[in-house]
Amino acid sequence: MLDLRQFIKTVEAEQPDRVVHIDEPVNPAEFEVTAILQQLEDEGRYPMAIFHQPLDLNGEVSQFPLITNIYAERERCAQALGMPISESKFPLSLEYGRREQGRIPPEYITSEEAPVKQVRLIGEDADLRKFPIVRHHHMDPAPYIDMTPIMKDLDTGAYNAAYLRMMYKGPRKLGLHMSPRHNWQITRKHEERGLPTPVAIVVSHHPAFYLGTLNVAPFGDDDYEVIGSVAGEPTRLVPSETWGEDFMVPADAEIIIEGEIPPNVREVEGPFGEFPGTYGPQRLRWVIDVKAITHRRDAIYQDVFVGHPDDWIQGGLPKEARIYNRIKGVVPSVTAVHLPPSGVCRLHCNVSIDKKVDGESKQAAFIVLGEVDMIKHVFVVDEDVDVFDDRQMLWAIATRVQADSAIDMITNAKGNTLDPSQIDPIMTTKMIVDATKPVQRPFSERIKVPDEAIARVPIDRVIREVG
Amino acid sequence: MAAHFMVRCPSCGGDFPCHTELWNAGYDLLCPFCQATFPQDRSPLVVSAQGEQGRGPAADATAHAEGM
Repeated sequence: MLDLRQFIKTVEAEQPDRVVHIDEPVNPAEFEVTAILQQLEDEGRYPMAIFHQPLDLNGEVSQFPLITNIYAERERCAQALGMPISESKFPLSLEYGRREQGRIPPEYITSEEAPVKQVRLIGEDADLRKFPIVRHHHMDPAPYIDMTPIMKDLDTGAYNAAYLRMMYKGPRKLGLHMSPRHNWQITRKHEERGLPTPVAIVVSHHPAFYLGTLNVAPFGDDDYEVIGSVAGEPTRLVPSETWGEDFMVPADAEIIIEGEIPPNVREVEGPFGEFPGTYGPQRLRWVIDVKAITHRRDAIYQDVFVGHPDDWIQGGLPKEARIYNRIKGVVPSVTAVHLPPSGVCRLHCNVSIDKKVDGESKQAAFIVLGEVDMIKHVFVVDEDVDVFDDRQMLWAIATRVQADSAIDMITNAKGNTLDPSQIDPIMTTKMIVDATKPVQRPFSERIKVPDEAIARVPIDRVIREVG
Repeated sequence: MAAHFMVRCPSCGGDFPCHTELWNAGYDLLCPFCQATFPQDRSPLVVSAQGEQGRGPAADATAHAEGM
């Protein structure tokens, strides 16, 4: 069964230099958690961080340790899916894509068997102030829970999970921001019938669960089945406290908050530091009335450092194989696809191809733009360029691009409302940069030190370091 | 992301962005810096989505809000 503790042990055993512990009390609601993460990031370090004495919203040391920055390095995402860290680049993308296509039905267990039911707090006993909820950036008006609410479609009965931001508004009240995707659709259906929308917020769980929620299965497919396939084992479910068997929740979670979205109620929410690294504006958004909290006796609270690699990598990794497979159907010479952190893993897409015919690069780029509306700029390179290496990408652009013939722009395309560069709220301009060598004429060859010479003088044998 | 206007908090002077759906919508705005709540027309400075500066509702920020 999935257990966050087991994942922590794996990371500590295989990558001990990629975990940091913070033992002294820090106040997440006063930016002190993100202040530590920011300092690490400024040094080029992205470790998983475990805070052993975070303060809760009452200003006291919380009973819940806090774990964050889990996903800030692809190696840990590979570990979460049981893969070796050596396969954390494109092999991880391809494996995610393969698993995403599968379905594993959930298993059902009793409340007595479920770890997340070890502590049950109902009604007035459910108090969000006991958690070390994080306030991330200077213009966030309050601490935010930024993990995954689960909702259930009225018509199909399918569950949907998605990362959404939830603003602390009171001991039993949260604000909820949604974009018009699956959970928004489920809420809209409830509102049209005058019904509250049940919601179970999975505040903390094994990372494989969260990577599974990032799937892009069609609306109506059950996310619990897809999550099971991505994680490689059935998601164990248990009846909720509020709705019983009518709404099942993950049994192996650390913490679950159950609540209802009252129909047609809106309140101000935000601003909030969002994925592009800029603020989304204050808006009129939904609220959640908290009905119950259940958690493990020794539960660990979890957070994502939104607008940073912890958030970005989750946004890009699950899309890479899907794009690759779509390109491969039309341009079989495609070799790799990557949404790099330098493009917030959403706005830029790097594609490499073993080009056989001029025009293949643009054909591949068209497919990228058609597949993921968030992607704004596509860079196509030859297979000798590593799409995971920004320096190699920029080298290819520097040496293989003549702007008047290699760059195309497509105006009036659908973009993302959070892209701060957009003039129009919806529409954007896309760009394709073809940084591949021409096929039809000779082109200067890339310099290269002979491989056999490198093999003769390996640096671990011949170099003497000073100091 | 053009569909927002900037508003200045009358209590602490902090500036923050609001979506144009909040323009004169009858909701008190929430200052993210000092937690003060206030109606838009109490703000000492509002900069519309088009960059026009005014006090309270002087500038029309809703002109480009269609389609949201």
